[in-house]
Formats: sequence, C-alpha cells, structure tokens
Amino acid sequence: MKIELVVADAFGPLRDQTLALTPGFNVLFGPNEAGKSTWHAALIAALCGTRRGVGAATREAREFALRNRPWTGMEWSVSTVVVLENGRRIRLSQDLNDHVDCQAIEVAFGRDVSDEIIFEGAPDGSRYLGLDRRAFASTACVRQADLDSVRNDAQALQVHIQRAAAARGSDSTAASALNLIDNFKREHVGLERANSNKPLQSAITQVARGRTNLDRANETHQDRIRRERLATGAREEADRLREQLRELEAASERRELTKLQRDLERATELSRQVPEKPRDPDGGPPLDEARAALAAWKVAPGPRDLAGDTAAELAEQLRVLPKTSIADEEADPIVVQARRAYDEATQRLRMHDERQVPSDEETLPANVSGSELRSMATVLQEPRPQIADEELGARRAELAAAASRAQGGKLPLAVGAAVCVLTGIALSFLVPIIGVALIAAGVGLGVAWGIFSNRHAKAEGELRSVEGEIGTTGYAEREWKARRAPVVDRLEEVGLPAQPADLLALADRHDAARQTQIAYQEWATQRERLTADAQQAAAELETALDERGAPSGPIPTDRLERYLADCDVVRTRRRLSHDLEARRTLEASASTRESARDRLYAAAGACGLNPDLPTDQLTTDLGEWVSDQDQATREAGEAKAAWAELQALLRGTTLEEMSQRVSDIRERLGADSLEGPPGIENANELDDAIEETARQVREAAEQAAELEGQLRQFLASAPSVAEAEEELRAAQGRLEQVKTLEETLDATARFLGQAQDEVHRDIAPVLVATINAYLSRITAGRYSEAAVDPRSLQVRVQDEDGQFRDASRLSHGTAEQIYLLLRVALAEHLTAPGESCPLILDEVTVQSDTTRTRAMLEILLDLSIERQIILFTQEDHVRDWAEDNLQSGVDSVQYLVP
Amino acid sequence: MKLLLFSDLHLDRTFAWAPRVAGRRRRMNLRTTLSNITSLARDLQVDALLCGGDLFEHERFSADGSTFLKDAFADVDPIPVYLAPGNHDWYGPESPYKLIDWSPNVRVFSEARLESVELAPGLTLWGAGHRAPANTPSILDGFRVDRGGINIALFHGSEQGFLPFVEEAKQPHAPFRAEQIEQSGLDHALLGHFHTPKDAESYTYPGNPDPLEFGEHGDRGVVVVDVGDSGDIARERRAVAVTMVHDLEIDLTGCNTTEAVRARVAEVLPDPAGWVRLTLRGAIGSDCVLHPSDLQDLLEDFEASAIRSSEVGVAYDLDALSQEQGTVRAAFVDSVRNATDLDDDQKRRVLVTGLRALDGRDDLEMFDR
Repeated sequence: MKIELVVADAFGPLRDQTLALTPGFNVLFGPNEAGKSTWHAALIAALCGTRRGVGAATREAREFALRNRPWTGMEWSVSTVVVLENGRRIRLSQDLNDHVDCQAIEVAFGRDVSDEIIFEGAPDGSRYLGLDRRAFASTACVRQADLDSVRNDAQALQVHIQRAAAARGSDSTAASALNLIDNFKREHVGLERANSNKPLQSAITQVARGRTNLDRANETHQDRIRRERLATGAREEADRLREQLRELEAASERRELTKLQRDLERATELSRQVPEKPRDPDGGPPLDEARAALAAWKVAPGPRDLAGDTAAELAEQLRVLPKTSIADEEADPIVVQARRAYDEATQRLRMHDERQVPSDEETLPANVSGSELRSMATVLQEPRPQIADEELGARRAELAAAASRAQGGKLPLAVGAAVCVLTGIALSFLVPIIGVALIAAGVGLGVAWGIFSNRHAKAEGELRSVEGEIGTTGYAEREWKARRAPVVDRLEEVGLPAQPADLLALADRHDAARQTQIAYQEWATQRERLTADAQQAAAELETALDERGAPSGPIPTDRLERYLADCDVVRTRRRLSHDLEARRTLEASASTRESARDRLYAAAGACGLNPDLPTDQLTTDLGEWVSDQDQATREAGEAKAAWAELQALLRGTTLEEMSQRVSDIRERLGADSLEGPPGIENANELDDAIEETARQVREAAEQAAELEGQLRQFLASAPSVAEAEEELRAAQGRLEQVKTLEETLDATARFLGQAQDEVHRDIAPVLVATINAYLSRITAGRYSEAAVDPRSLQVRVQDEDGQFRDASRLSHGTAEQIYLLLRVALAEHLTAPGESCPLILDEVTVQSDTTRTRAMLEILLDLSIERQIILFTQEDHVRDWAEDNLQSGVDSVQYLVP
Repeated sequence: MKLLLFSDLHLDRTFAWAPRVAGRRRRMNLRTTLSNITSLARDLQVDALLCGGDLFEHERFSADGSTFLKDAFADVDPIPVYLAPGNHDWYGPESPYKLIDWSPNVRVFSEARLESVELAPGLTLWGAGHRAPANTPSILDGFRVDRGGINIALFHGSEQGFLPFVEEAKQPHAPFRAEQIEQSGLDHALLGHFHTPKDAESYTYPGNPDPLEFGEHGDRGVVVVDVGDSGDIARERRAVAVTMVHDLEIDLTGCNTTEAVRARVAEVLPDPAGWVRLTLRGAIGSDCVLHPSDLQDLLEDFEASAIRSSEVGVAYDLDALSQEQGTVRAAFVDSVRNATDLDDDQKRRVLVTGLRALDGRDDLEMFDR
C-alpha cells in the first residue's frame, strides 16, 4: 500500500489542505507548531477512520476528539487516496462527527467498496493490509517514545516484539495476559484451602454452612412434627375424654330428667290427694284395750269337759301302787330273745333224741378199698390184642423178592446201554448203519434200565410199610401183659380171687358198711352240739334277767315270770301319771277362758257397748268397733305418708319450680340428646364414672396444654426449611459461579499459552532473517548473525568470536536500528501477503546524534525500496540529509509551514 | 350450586433464585393469596371452597403454618371447605392435614380412593387425596359412581393428554385420561397438579393462583364453578395473585459502554413494582465493561430481581481476529473456536476472557449473575 495524498477537509487547525506523498521515502519537515502531529493524526484518521460505537464515547475517543476536532465549524472530516499493491486506487472519506458520510470508493470505477473494510462501524483502510486501525497504529507507526524505551530499558526491545506478536495494536503481551489471568484467578478464585479468604474457599465454606443449616432445619422440622403429633394426640385424647364426659353427663341428666319428670307427675298427683298437711287421727287406751281383749279372747281355750277322775283322785291311785326293782314297762327285747332261744334249744334237743340212728358193723377186708377193687376188676376184664403175623410175614417176603429182582436187572441194562451207545458212536464213522442201530439199541436198553429202576424203588417203599405195621402190633401185646401182672399180684397179696365179678360185689358191700358208720357218727356229733346249745341259751337268759334287774331265783323260768309281773306295775304307774298331767292342764284352760271373757266384757263396757249381750255378739260388736277405729287410723296414716312423700319430692320447692327445672334440663340437653344410649344403669356408678372421667379430662387437658406450650416455645425458634434451602442454593450458586470462573480461567490460560508458543515459533525465523540482512552493516561487521528465542522472542547477536550477546545490551544506536529492523520485520510478518505496510515515523531521531541519525536514515532509505516511509521531523540535519540523498519523483522532502 | 376452586398454592415453597429476604416475602405473598381466596369465597357466598392439592409443601411446612391454615379456613365458616391432598402435601400420620385441629367446616379427603359427600340433594362431591409423595396410582382406575344425580370429582392428578403441553419436569402423579371421567360416571373433575391453567370440557385445572416461577403464562387464579341443575358447568376465572412478576428479555446488541447497556435496560423496565427477571441477550461491544452492580440501582425499587446473562456475548469480530497475520491473538481465537473439549458457552467465556487479557483489561469475568 502507498498513500498518495491526505486531504484535511476539516481537521484540527487544518481546513481544505492537502498533503501529497511519494511512494518512497517521504520526509515531512517543520518546526514546532508547524502541524506535524496534526498531519500525523489526520493521516492515520483518513486511512483507518475511527470506531463508530453506541452510547457514550470511550476515553480514547474523547481524547482524540479533544485534540483534533476543528477549532471552528461543525464539519470534521478527512480523506485520503491509497494505491494497493495490486493497483487498485481507493479513496477513503471519514466523517469523524457521526460517521454518516464515511465511505471507501474505488477510484477507477467510482464504486463504494466500504463493505470490504468496515471495522467497528467505519471504513478502515488498514484492513487491506490485514490489520485494523488499532493494529496499524502499533505496527506501522513508530514514535519517539518507542525508541526512547529501547534506549532506556533493556527489556523493552523484547517486550515490543512480544506485544506485536501477541495482538497487533495492543500494549499487552501474551505473557502479561497470562500473568493477568493468573493474578485474576488468585484474587477472584483463590485456593481451596481452609485458611483462604478468597471466593472459592468462601463459597465452599458457605455451602458447607448452608448444608449444615439445612440439615439442622430438616431435623428441627422432623422434631417439630413429632412434637405436633404428641400435642395433637394429647389434644385429641382430651377431646375424646370431654366427649365421653359429655355423654356421661348427658346420660346423667337424662336420668335426672326421667326421675324429675316422674317425681313431678307423682308430686302433682300427691298434691291433688293431699292439698294440705293432714291432722293426726283419734285413738287412745280404750281402742288398745279392746284390741288386746279381743286378741286374748281370740286365743283363749275353748270350752272344756271336766268329767272323770279329778286330779286329786288320780294322784291317790298312783300313790298306792307297789314298788318294783325294774324300770321296764314292757319285757326287754333281749330278755324276750333269750327266752325264745332257750325254748328253741330245749325243743331241738328233745326232737333229736327222738331220731336216734343204730350203730351195727359188717367185717370186711380193711386193707383194700371199694374203688381199688373196682379198678382191679376193670384191668382183669381187658381182652388180649389179636396179631396177624403170618399174613404180614408172607407179604414182606414177596416184596423183598420183587425188590431184589429189580435191583439185579438194573446193572446189566445200564452196562449194555453204555456199550451199545459208545460202540455205535465209534462205528457210525466206519459203518454208519450198524453204528446207528447200536445207538438205537443202547437207547432202548437205557429206557429198560429206567423201568427197572422205577419198579425197584416202588417195591422198596412197600416193603418198608409192611415192616412198620408188623412192629406196631407187637408193641400192643407187650403193654397188655404189663398192666395185668401187678393186679394179679395185688389180689394174691390181700387173699382175693382174680375174678372181676366177685371183686365188683365185694366192692358194693364195702361201700354200704361205710355209709352206715358215717350216719351214726353224724347223729352223735349233732346231739352233743344241741346239748351245748341248750345250756348256752339258759345261761344267756340268766344274764339278760340279771341285766334288767329282775328278781333273783334258782330257776330261770321263775325269775322270768316275776320280771314280767313287775313290768305290768311299771306300765300302770306311767299311765296314771299321764292322766294326772292331762287333768291338771284341762283344769287350767278352763280357768284361762273364764279370765278372757271377763276382760272382754270389761273392755266392751269401756267402749260403751252393752255388757249384757252374749259373748259371741259382744265379741262381734267389739270387733267391728275396733275395725272402724283401725280404718280411720289407716287413712290418716296414708294421708300423712302422702304428705311426707310430697314434701320429699318437692325438696323445699314448689310444683311450678319443679316443672321449670324439667323444662330447663330438656332445653339444655336438646332434642338429639334426649334419646341417648342408656349408658350405665346404676346411678352411683354413673356418678363415679363422671367424676373419674372429669379427672381424666383435667389431666389430659393439662397434658395437652403443656405439650402445646412446649410446641409453641419450640416453634418460636424453629428455623425455616425453605430459607435454609434458599441459603444453600445461593451458596451453591456462588460456588458454581466461582468454579465456572476457575474453569474458564484455566482453559483460557491453557489456550493462550499454546497460542503463544505456536506464534513465537513462527515469528522467530522471520525476525532472524530481517536482522541478518542488515546486522553486519549497521554494526560495522562486529556482528553478523542474530538468533531469536522462540519462547521469549529474546534477540541475541553473535560477535566475531562466535559469542551470542543480548541485542538490548548493544549500543543505543545499534539497538535503535535493530528495533527499526524488528518493526519492519513484524510489519512484514503481520501484513497480509502481497501487501506492504507503510512505515510512519514521528521524530524518531530527535534523541540521536548526527552519526546515529544518519545511520538510521540510511536504513530507512534502504527500507523505502520495499515500502513507503513517511518521516515527520523538525531536525535540520535530517532535512539536509534528505535534500542530499533522496531521489526526486520517488522520494520527497516537504516543508510544513506553521 | 356455586363452588370456588383453587390448587397448587405451594405454601412455604423455596424460591431458589431469590435472596433470603425476597424468598420470605414471596412466601408471605402466598399466604396473602390464600387470604384473598377465602375473602373471595365469603364475598361470593359460594356453597363450598375446594382445593385440588399442593396447598402447601410438606417438607418445608413452616412453624406457624398450622395456625395460619386453621384460621384461614375457620374464617369462612360456615362455608364448607374440602381439601384433596396432592403429592407435595400428601396425607400421612405426620401431615399437617392430620395434625391440625380443623374447624368443623373443613373436610380433608384422606383416602387414596374417591369418597363421597353430598353437597346438596342430587349433587355429590367425590374427593381423594395422595397418601405418598410419589407413585400414587390413578384415582379413576376401577372407579364408578354408584348413584344418580350430578357427580363432581376433586383430586390431584395428571391428565395424560395435557401432560405433553405443560411443564416438562412434571411427574405424572395419579395419571388418568380425560375419557375416564365420563366412563366412570362423573360429570366433571376439578383438579390440581398442573400449574398451567386448563378449562377442558370434562375437567378444570385452575393453575397456581400466585406466580411460582418466572415465565408463567395463562389465566391463572381461582375458578368460580357454577354447577347447573342438569350438571352443566359454567366457569369464571378470578385473579387473586399478590405477586406481580415481570419477565423481560433485552437485546444488548450494539451497546459498547456500560451507559449504553443501562440505557437499554431502563427503556424496557416497567414501573418498579413486584418481581422482575431480566434475560439479557445480544453482543455488547468488546470495550464495554459491565458488572452486575452496574444495573443494581435500576432494579433496587423492585421487590426482587434476577438477571440472566448467559446469552450475552461480546461483539468481537472473531473472523477478523482469526485472520490476523501471525499473532498470538489470532492463534488463540482459532484454537478456541476449533476446540472440541469446550461447549459453546465455555468457548464464549474463554474467548472473552483471553481477548480481554490480551487487551490488558482486568474485567476478565463475564457479566454473569
């Protein structure tokens, strides 16, 4: 890009003035107040314009306006014409007031190309260089202060390079940006450390505190619910008990109402019966005596028959009876029993003597009994056993012969069968017909051997059967002889014949004699026993009489008779005594009846009745009189009782008051409660239940009130769950915000560091190449090679000895020149490919001596071959050098007039 | 028969975004809203006051909430009050529904199946309540009215056809389908759960009567339900909200200075009353230094405010920066824009932070609150 001209339509003190420029080295010379700074600002403003923003202007914009706004008039505009490396000629017009008339026109076609280079609301010609107005100012413009800093600050050179590499137009380097981020993080995030007071730790602490508070609030919430449950339960229990008490009281009132209604009805009825207090009835002693006389007459004995002996006569008869030694009126049963036993014993003895048995005896063998004789006769009568010896012997001989024959034929047949079969088998290979015949014959012989074997076995069996039968018959005969022999010997011993019939007859006689002897012995034994019984009975009769106190005597029967006579005397005495007692009672009753009748008549007289009436009539009249008196007394008593009952019902009130009370209770109970459940029937139990329930109500109410009070006290200090949640949420939000910031800062630092490394690696070779092209020249051959550290962009130069030295440590002049070279290199590096960036320098040599100025101007002259150089200066030796060295047409020297 | 229906008041709710004092104020507003509802019930002389659940939030129920609720509904006595617990105020042994000593005019439906109460001869109200904070099955499954006349239901449930059109985060508690209402013999269902109001033919969602979130739309409030003799339903919505909410979106594009941003915000702010949320969008100038406190004085007369700025960008010409020849800034912009381990928001933050650092600025943190 080459700037052809700048037109200050209205800019600072300039109005309608034009500055034409050449494409090479332009030196703009003027003393102070010649307008160098104004033209410098107008040039940049015309090329790049200013930002068009919304709202209030920035501080930078305000300062710019303060310095460069026209001193008079409203217009503030400037324009320029530039030629791009591709030949396009662009006219840029900048309306610096409100940016309305800003435009870029391609001169050849008159076409508005503003949209190609609009930046921040206004056309910016530096966009054709790949820069923007801010970057252009920092890349293309070199101020005196820049060189001053290089001279005065060893690090300035490196910083300038870093700034340019970081962001064109910025005063910051990537390193300072990273440092800024690190500081910002340290201040606005901080470390997660307990003793830190920075935002991250504060937010973490706040979250922990919020969580603790929320936990506490939730626990309190649960505790509160528990307390509320308790309080509610106590209240419900109190309510339940109150309801129970109300039901009981209603039942009690219903009971009272029922009773009161009944009492009212009764009292109403009684008041009708007894409207006033009744008087006491008449009465007194006559009535009582009449009632007593009637009662006495009523229980008095009836009339008595006094015929017969008098009591005195009967007493005399009793007195003359004889005395006795006994007390029995009747014979004692023991005595009677003893007498009967005595009579029977003597009777049985007499009858036994009358049936005496004879005692004759027959002589019989004494050493043998009838049963032994009958047994021996039985043995002698047994027949001898019959044995068929001949028949069994013949049969045994026949069977023995048959068995022998069968045994004898078996062996030849077996041998023959074996020989024939073996021979037949042997010959069947030589002469088959004969062999087969012999085998058949052998088989036939074998069959015959089987038949003989069967017959032999059968004969053997039958032979063993016959021999068994013969043995059994012989045994029976031997037994018969053994039984008969001892019988014959016994009969010989006792001298009796061995004849069964005699023996049996002798046995019969023997048995008859034996029976007679036994009968006599039995009679004699019985008589002795009967005699003893009669004696025993006589002794017992004596004993019984003795026990009853009977008179003594030698003969029991006499004693018995006298005893019985005494019994009659005793019986007569008792009858007379009884008759005497009865007679005396009869005589007393008659006396009592007489007294009662006398009292009756006396009472009747006292009551005013006729004393001449018969007893029955008098009794009736007196009874009626008493009855009348009793009726009157009863009626008076009933009235009195009714009056008392009425007073008890009223209890000191009136019927009206009682009725009003009934109405009051009915109204208090209400219609619904009038028909309640019967409840407890017993009034006392009901009262007890009411008292007990009332006590429970009081206790439950106190308990409920206590719990309610505790709950209210608890609620007064209960934290809000919602507020605790909000506190926690706010703290979490702050923590999240800080962590997001931390992540953002970390990511930014990471990406920025990576970008720095990448760019520095790219820019370092460019810087080295540019410096190397001029290094030997500007250092008079002392240094020939330069090196740039890709990390820090530190520039070092190599001396003749091959040692690298920090470029910032070289002489001021050399450093200035290297700085210019670096600025050119950076401009070259930062400018879009195909374009060249003009270099605008403002009083860059004012602090240099003539030699250093000349060296710098020569460098600039060389550089002007590649790019347009515009140098503002007030120094005469610069002007002089320019006039001597610049080439007309390509370069120019212009003189600015104040 | 005139009924007053409301639901989803959410007493003692947490307002997570709000400062502490503001949250308390919002909760007080919810109580005042209930007072407005009971006052309206008295003024209109309704035959019954109905709540379709989520009257309060069980887990956050405040210390004096029991007394407040008891007094609020006792004040409308003898107007009957019917309460159907929802998933946030589910009925249980520790529920305030159970523990409060209600006045005689209050009836709480404590069973998860519909129970009947005769509002008038021939008009039956069927109510049910949630007994757990989640997994409450459909209340209408297997239900069938057992009588003639007009039958109205009151419960907290999710109509499945309406679900996709309301809050995405809503869980389908006690789900049912609209056709189940008629199939079960009910004439109408008065409901709670969805905060978005809905007057469907067979059911009514009144919505939350006082705002709970920013961005709520629709005619929320209470519903005066007139039930005709033939079972026809006439509905009239009444506003009872106490809280005034402003939800504003502001485009800051072109604002290069703090003053410009303030001016842009001030242009759209309403009269300072109620609650305001600013959602800032657009790209501010790269030189603009903006801090939350810069807007605070504009909002201090509102009851509370919130600012969302996650969509605010900075007007860097990133294309131009990335085209810079050989600078660290260009390389930084390129690498961040092409980074695969950052999402767009992170890229935005990193770019602004890095570019500001390269400009030597100390306001590295994005405006965010």
